[in-house]
Amino acid sequence: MRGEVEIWDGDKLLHKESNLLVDGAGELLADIMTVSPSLSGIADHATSSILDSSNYTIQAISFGKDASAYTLNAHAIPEKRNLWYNSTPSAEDSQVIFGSDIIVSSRPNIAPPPQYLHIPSSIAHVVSLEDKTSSGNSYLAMRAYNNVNYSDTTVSAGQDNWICASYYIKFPVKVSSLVPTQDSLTTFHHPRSHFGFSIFSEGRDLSIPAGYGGLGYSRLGTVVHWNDVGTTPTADGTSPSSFSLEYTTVAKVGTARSEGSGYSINNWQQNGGVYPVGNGWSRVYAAGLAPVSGVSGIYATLNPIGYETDPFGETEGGIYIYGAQLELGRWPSDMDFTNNRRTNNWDFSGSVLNRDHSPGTVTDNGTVRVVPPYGTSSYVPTNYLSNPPNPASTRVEEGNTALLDVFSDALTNFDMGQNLNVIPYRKNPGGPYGVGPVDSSQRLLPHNVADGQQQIDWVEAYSPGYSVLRDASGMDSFGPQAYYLGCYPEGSSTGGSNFALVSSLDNSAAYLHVANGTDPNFVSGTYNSIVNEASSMDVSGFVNMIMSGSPGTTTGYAMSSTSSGLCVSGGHDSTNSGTVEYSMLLGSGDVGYSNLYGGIYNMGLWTIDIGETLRAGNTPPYSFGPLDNPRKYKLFSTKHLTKNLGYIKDNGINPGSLNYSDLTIKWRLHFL
Amino acid sequence: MKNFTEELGINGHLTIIKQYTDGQEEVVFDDHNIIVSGMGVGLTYMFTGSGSNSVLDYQIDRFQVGVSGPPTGGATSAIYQLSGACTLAEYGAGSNLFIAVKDQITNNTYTSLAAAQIPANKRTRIGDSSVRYTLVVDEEACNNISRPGTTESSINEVGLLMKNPTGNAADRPLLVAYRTFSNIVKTSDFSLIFRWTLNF
Repeated sequence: MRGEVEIWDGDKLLHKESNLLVDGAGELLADIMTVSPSLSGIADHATSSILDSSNYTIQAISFGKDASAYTLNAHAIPEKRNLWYNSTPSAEDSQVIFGSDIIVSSRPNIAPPPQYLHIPSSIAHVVSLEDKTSSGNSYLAMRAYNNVNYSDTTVSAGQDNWICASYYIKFPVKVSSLVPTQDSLTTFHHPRSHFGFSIFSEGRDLSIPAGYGGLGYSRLGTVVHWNDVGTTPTADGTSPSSFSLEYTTVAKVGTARSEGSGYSINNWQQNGGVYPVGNGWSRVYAAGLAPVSGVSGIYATLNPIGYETDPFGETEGGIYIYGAQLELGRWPSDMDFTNNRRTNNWDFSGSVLNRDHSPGTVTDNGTVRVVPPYGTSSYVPTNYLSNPPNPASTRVEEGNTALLDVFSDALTNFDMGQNLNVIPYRKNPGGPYGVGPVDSSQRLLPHNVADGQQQIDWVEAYSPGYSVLRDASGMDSFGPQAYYLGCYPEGSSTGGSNFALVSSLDNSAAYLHVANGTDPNFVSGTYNSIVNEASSMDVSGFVNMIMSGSPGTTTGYAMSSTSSGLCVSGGHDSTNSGTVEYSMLLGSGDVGYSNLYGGIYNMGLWTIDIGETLRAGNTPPYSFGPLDNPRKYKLFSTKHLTKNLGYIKDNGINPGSLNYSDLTIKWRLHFL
Repeated sequence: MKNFTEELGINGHLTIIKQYTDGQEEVVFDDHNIIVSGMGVGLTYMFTGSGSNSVLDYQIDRFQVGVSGPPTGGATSAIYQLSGACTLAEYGAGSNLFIAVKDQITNNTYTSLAAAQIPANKRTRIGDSSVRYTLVVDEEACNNISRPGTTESSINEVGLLMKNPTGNAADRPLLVAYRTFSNIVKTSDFSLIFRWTLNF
């Protein structure tokens, strides 16, 4: 144990204990002692700036908890994620329609996507879909209408939620059936698979506007091209070469479709894409935002091959499919295999993803809902043991903290070992084409969505002019699934973030938004973040260091302000005390909100990892930015607590969850 | 509570080798060293942002040898200068060493003292957190030193200095590591090689 950490609640000392300096501290000093003096002779400012001493000091603090807690508490993703009745389409399933002479065969002899090789064929198996005629658009449709098709839902189910449909697909069934059609003397129409996804609003009117489908009819979709649309094939014929998104067609015909039924966003937006998962399999997905006015039905259509009218040219052939999934959110998560699963309103409402507001009112920021395990109005998170303090640690929690890495093959590399800060930036627009998974997520987190650049390349390959429509795209942000990642609320100037402690997540009491006075377990409120109000915490959860104090001139390590981030003060004063004090004000809202996600048990001080930062292509000066932070950090010291910083209990008058106070963290390093 | 440098585990190891002109080598000393309080002072300047803005000023880039070790009161971490650091003249005019006389920080005062430069290529990172300094007192350096009252002074102490942690316009070095050893009468028959490894 080295150095010391003090935690204060006002003038009350809550905790004082030594910390642990990790190997990174020694590595930093070795960095300092061996950086090349020759850099000073280089005129390039970015190069000579490597020698700035601020690049080698403490620059951030972060917080975390045990690894298990990253899949529990408000991080918990509902077990009933897949809302389809069956994840393997069957003719006996009334949600399923096989249309226009499509040839459907169960193919348990075909290996599924690699990550599901262990799944017995009795749970799920591969199905082939073949279009062997040019007489029509053969298709597989899956649909869920209220109170039919094994659904126990009403119009409020899924309202104002992002809903995502997906399949695993593999092309072709037979190479010999691949018949490219010559469109002109110089172009060929190569096969493509069309995955349409429509959300029907309550009160949709197909007569408005004339032409493109009607009011309240989303008609989204993702079209996968199995080879280039130009003259020269760019793929091997069995891999996606590009894709296009159907929302662009909708956007071209005005906004009537989007605004007539109380949608909380302008125009139809869509997330979508197709990404490889191995062994020739890809996952195609399409997601859209359901209207506030209510949902009357959901309809997903898969045309395995070809599309006769747009552009012209019939292509015959077939694809394999596996694992149909319909779920809440903007991104597909890993398969939740279903066999005869009925769904109800609460399955479609989710927990943290649910919003509830009237058309025309301010959009709800989203509400985190948790069930207090002990039936009180103070939330006690579920935690297990953290990894023990270890000088070899490179992060505040060594265990696997990758919630979405576990639950999604689309979204990976969120395993940062600490609490993330994704919620305030969930709507962040994407990169140059606004088509993230991808570029936007690269900006959201330094590590990101698998094959992100590939997705950009593919969508751009089909439609170079795509960027014109990027404002209407829903691909360019992380979306509501950011609430699964947590862990800090928005600042007060953006309304903070709502929370509710509820007695259950499967009845209407959980979604009332007001304390009803009859349920002692129901408490709601709003938490405001200090660090996000000051924009001093990046999306990865690093709180930036600011030189708030006046080193060398202050006495008693006085800080001029600790509310803007991590501050440093004290040190080399007249008494040469050799003490450096880092201090940070952790706001009541930050403590309370992160407690819903499992609390705060660990913290760490970080320096800049110059080597990694330079290797990532970032050159100094390293200006801190919460969205696009160029800094890579190296852990300097850690502190593991045995008690949750967010622990609180009711005091007999006020609910504990509404009674948090600001905490001041003082972290002292003694050099003498 | 232990201080930072103790807790961090900063330690060092010094090997002194006589290298004769015919290539023979003789290890005359092989032991740990003392990290003195100056290391903590220098790092405090660094981490509070109250010292130099250049990381180069916190590097150990010079050394001293002396003839009066061990110091009165023993070799402790409170040492801030060598007991009898060699003067500019004592390092020898014919030596390859680059000697500079600077105002060294000595317990809140400054003392003008000579020190030899450690070339950058003699400061080698040998591990994630280990740096080796190779100090060469060549055949022409520090020979036949004679202080008043003695006919032949022996080299018996050595120190490493941080360049200029306060960021003063003219370098003000700071002693950060120290070691005494058995008397070595330096002659032109051999070079003295100090192989000094610091583990941070």
